[in-house]
Amino acid sequence: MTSPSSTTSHKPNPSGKQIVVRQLQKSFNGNTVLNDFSLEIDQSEIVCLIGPSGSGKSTLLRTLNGLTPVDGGEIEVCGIRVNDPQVDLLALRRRIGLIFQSYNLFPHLSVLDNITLAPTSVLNEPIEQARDYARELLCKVKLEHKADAFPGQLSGGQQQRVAIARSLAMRPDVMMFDEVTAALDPETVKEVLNTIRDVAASGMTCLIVTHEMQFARDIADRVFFTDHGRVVEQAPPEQLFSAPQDPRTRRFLENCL
Amino acid sequence: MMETLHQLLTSSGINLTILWDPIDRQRFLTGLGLTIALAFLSVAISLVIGILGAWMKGSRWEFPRQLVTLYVEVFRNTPLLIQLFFFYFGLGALLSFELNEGSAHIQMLHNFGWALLVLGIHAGAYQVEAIRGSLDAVPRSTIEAAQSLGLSSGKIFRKVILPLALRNSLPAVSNSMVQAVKATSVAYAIAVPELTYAANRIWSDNLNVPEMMVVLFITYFTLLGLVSIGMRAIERRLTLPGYHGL
Amino acid sequence: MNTLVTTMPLRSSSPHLLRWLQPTPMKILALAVLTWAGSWILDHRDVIVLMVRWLPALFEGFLVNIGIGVVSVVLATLLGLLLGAMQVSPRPLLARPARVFTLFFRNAPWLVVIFFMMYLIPFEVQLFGTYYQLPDWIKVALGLSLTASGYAAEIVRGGIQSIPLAQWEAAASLGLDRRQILRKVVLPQALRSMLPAWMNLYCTVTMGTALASLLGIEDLMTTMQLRLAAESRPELLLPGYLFVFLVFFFYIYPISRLSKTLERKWSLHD
Repeated sequence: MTSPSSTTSHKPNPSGKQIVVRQLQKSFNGNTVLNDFSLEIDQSEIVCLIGPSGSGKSTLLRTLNGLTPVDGGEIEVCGIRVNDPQVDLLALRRRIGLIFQSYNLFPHLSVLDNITLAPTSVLNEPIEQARDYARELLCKVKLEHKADAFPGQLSGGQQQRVAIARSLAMRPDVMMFDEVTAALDPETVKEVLNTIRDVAASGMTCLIVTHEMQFARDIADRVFFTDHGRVVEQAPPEQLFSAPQDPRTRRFLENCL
Repeated sequence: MMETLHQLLTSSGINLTILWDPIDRQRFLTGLGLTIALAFLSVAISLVIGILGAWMKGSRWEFPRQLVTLYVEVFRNTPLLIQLFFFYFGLGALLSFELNEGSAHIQMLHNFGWALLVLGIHAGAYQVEAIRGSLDAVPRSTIEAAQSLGLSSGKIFRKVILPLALRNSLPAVSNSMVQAVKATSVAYAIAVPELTYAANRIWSDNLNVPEMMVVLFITYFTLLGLVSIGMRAIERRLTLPGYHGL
Repeated sequence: MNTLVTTMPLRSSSPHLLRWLQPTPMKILALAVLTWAGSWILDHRDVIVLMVRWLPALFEGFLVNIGIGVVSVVLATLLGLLLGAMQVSPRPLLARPARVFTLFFRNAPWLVVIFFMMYLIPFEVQLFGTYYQLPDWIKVALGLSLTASGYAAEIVRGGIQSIPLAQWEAAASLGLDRRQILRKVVLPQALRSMLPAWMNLYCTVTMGTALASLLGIEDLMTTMQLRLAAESRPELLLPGYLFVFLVFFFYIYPISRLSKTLERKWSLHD
């Protein structure tokens, strides 16, 4: 089941799509967070999710990698049916990377160890190989000189970039970003967005939840607007931002831009 | 009625002399009274010391601050029993004197007094930290708001800081009361006839250790339970609706 | 978490040594105390010589205190781990007795518990046909460990609960399974947060060992008291008890300081 070193494997999926979500239902304590949520994402597609807080965007990301179980609906990621009670969550999570708003680096490990922990423990990569790849990734996020630093010594933006490198080290098929710049100061937001740009440009399927409208406009192949737990409208960015069809979308964009 | 109880208990092998023997009963009740007295009075003393110490710790000058720190560190990092012995035997020897040649030594302070003093000083070291902490826990922003409104620092202390600090300190004060009740048993070491000492004497005389142990545990737990209930009632009376602490 | 900007402490312009020599009220007080102590020592040289002769016996007595302390803390930790695990168990048959046990021993005065142990535990025990004598100090150690186990259980529970859920989630998102997460991410951080509290527990238990002197065990205090009683010289009382006081202080205080420093240095999630 575990392969020592696999280059990105885009396995063919039964439905042909990388991520398929159908009629998802999820409630917390009586609050419906996901209400008949559906979307489909192709391989190497860059998708941005925008919408007001509480519209279920973060919850959706967590259901995709099995952190949050769903009450109803179907989820298929990389050919794996996530809502199946017998699903191999570990296998699923090897294929998906999730970057959190609060970075969540492991404070007791150095940057390099943070990045090599999962490949060595889960993929059984030899430590030297893992370290080499880790350094390569650190170069890509422009933090090669911080390999031996500890998370507490880094700024927020640097920690977020390390978090991105850490997920990339698992060579996932899909990368999900959960409002990753929301906790950063404006100056550091740019460096993280540029890192995401590089990841997207390498052909990775990306699902990005963000408030950065300009960024979504630049980078996305498609933008989804969500409200009250479901997708209200989805279109390529030029279309969604300049000529939104739904009045709710229009109201939201007016308030943000 | 006592007779039938006596019969019932002795026939089943339980020897509770405190119920029917007047001497033992007196010992036990005196012990209970002394334990309660020691607990309450030592907490009172510790609060006074605590407030004084907290005030000194907030001083502008280094000397009072360092003095309090010295006191706190010394009394928190040595055993209570050793402190008791040091005061009673060590300092007590200094303070006793002979009235006339050959007559018995008169002590300045009876052993109950020494126990009270040491328990108070020991608890005071913890109170200083607790009270200082509760004063510091009043948010700076609240004080600045009061200053911006033009209130004098005396008024601010009385009307803003003190009421909030009081509520902050309740958990710590209630904890110190619980610790005080438990600490009184140490007075056994200098023959203060409190509960543990009384129980010891009773079971030495009557060889009814298991019964007296049970009585002892039950008594202490009841005392502690009453203290907890009392403190929680006070906390409830002082709660501010919607204020969840800091 | 952002440690890029640190505030520099204000430094006066005078060199280090000169600042050290400047008089403050505290230093004057310390100097006065030392001078008084010095003159007292010079006046009572014979007393000092006498007490120096006692040092080996006193040292042995203190070793008894340390020994009881170490045994108690080890027992308390083991018992505390068991108790902690039982307390969080979903089965009431395990959880409730554990909670009652903890409640009982946290509310009982330490001295009463030690008396309880002294009378409860027989003075000898039969194991596999031979009789083993149970010395008194073991009973004291057991009594202390029972009371301390409640605190130990809380330290363990608090340590694991103090690791934010986010760490579990981040590790799970990387594909690590539950055992790997515990071993590589949660426990290393939890142990680091538990150590200062555990050192504190050790200090508390060691201070509790002083109660052993009341049960006739030859610890530091009893040894000193025996020597003082044999000499029956009133001017020895104060220095004798002061000595015991200072021995405990200079053993406990550094450990306590170290635990506070570690707590500050290792606070990873603030």
